[in-house]
Amino acid sequence: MGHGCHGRQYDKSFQTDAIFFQALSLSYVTVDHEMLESVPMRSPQIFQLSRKQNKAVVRFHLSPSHVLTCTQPTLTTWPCTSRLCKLPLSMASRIAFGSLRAAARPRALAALPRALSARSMATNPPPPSERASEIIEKLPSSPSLVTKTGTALLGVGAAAAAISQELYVVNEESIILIASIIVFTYIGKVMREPYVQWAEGHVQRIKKILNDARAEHTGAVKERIESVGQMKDVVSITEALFALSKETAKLESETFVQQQKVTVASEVKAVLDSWVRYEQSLKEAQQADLTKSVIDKVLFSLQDEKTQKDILSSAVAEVEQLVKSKAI
Amino acid sequence: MFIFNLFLMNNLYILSPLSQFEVVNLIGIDAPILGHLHISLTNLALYSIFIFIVVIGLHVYANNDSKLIPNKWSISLESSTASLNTMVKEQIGIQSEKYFPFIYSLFFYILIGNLISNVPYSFAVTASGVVSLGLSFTIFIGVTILALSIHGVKFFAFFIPAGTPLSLVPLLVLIELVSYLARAVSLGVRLFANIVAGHTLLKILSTYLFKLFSGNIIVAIITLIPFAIFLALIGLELAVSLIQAFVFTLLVCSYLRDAIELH
Repeated sequence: MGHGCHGRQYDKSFQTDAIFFQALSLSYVTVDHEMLESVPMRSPQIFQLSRKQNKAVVRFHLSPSHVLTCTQPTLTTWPCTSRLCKLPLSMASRIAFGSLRAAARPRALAALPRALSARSMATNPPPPSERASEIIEKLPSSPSLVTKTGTALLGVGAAAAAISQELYVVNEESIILIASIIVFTYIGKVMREPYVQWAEGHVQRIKKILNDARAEHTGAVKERIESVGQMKDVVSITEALFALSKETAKLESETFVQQQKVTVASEVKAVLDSWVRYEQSLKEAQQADLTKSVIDKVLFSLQDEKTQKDILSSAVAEVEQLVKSKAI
Repeated sequence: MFIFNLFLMNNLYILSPLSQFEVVNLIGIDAPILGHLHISLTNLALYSIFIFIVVIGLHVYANNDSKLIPNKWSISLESSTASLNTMVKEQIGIQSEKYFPFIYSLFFYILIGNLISNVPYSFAVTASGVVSLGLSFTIFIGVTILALSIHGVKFFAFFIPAGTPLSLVPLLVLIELVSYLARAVSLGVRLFANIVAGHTLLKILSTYLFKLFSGNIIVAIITLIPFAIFLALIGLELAVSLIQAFVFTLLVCSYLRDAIELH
């Protein structure tokens, strides 16, 4: 499981003075023995190392007299039992730490797995062919190589013609021009990223302030709406309370009138009652007088003998009557 | 003879490094009418127009359509406005709002003028004595009129420091007067001398570098070392452009404060 030579897949054979492999384990960095059997190997060196992914890329320097001809696109295998290709863990680690110390920056280390997957030669400068193609890519034209060549040729030709025809005179001002272009480009490149970050930070801060203010305002309006909403029945309640208070006042006045009436009536009743009591007492006094006078008259008449005789005779007559009638 | 002349032209005739500051006519009308009419567009006028266009263009472009949230351009303008406003407030005080537009315009005029002069083949407007000294004299006269209008006759107390013995008053008034008048010159000369010195230095060095680069290949390669220093000097010139614009406006603020407060 590894990348082929220089991280590329080759259909044809190629020649190289160093080969690169990527292995999955640190314990044994293995290389296909068929390829290396005939190659005298010098100083195997851990080229890139990622402990996180447990991967290593190993570079074997080959002696100049043994230029390697490689016919297989993928050169490493795993597992491999070839004795020739095995590197013990201690050795691999020792070499690896040496390489790590050189590239000990955390950012570089973090970017390592990505670089490993993207390109097995991340710390190596790109091959000249790639660099050249990058420069060609930068030329302004449609992607075809013909027009790019045309642009480059036209540019160089135009510059040469301008100089030869003295349309453009190369003098000390040209030095200032070149130097200015270099300085302006450098300043532009150096300043661009921090400036963009600073500007973005400011813009985001202003956006945040405005959004916060908007949210706060919305919240305040909502709160106000809610507080006003709580008072939505206030008119009907007030009207009801007013009607109730009116009714209460009316009832109170009626009560007052009734109380007055009751008071008058009770007053009248008291007067009448006292009158009745007076009349009653007067009557009682008269009756008592009458009774007394009757009793006195009867007692007086009883003292008269004739009366006593009449009574006695009537009583005898009655007894006789009763006897006759056999009532006793 | 012609070849000899050409040889002279190519090898012996070197333009003065100060020739870049010469004001020349580009287009002109020179007609024998209306009392011999003469109107011309000089390189100074042309670059003044460029400055005007760039300043206006920058402000129109960076206005960001008057949106509340700034973009990357307008935030730079807002930031510089805030910085200038802080400076003017610190210098002038509570009346700073009245003078801020003037200081702001002055700063951007000088800054853009200085920066445009750093473009190769261009002309340095602020390296012209007419412009720099014209600006400084105009400001000096304006500031003096302002001080007289605010304080009237009391303005002349400015020339007598507090607690001066009477016997020393004539001498000190003379010294203070000279010092006050020198402001008019020093303000303009500072700007103009800095820009002239920087551009002249670059011109002289570039002439040497050109001669060295034109030699054989080894000399040309070795010349890359002084060329690196030359690059640094161009960077320095850019910094000087900014610093001189700032210093000029800072001193104008200081003079305005003197005129308003009289010490």
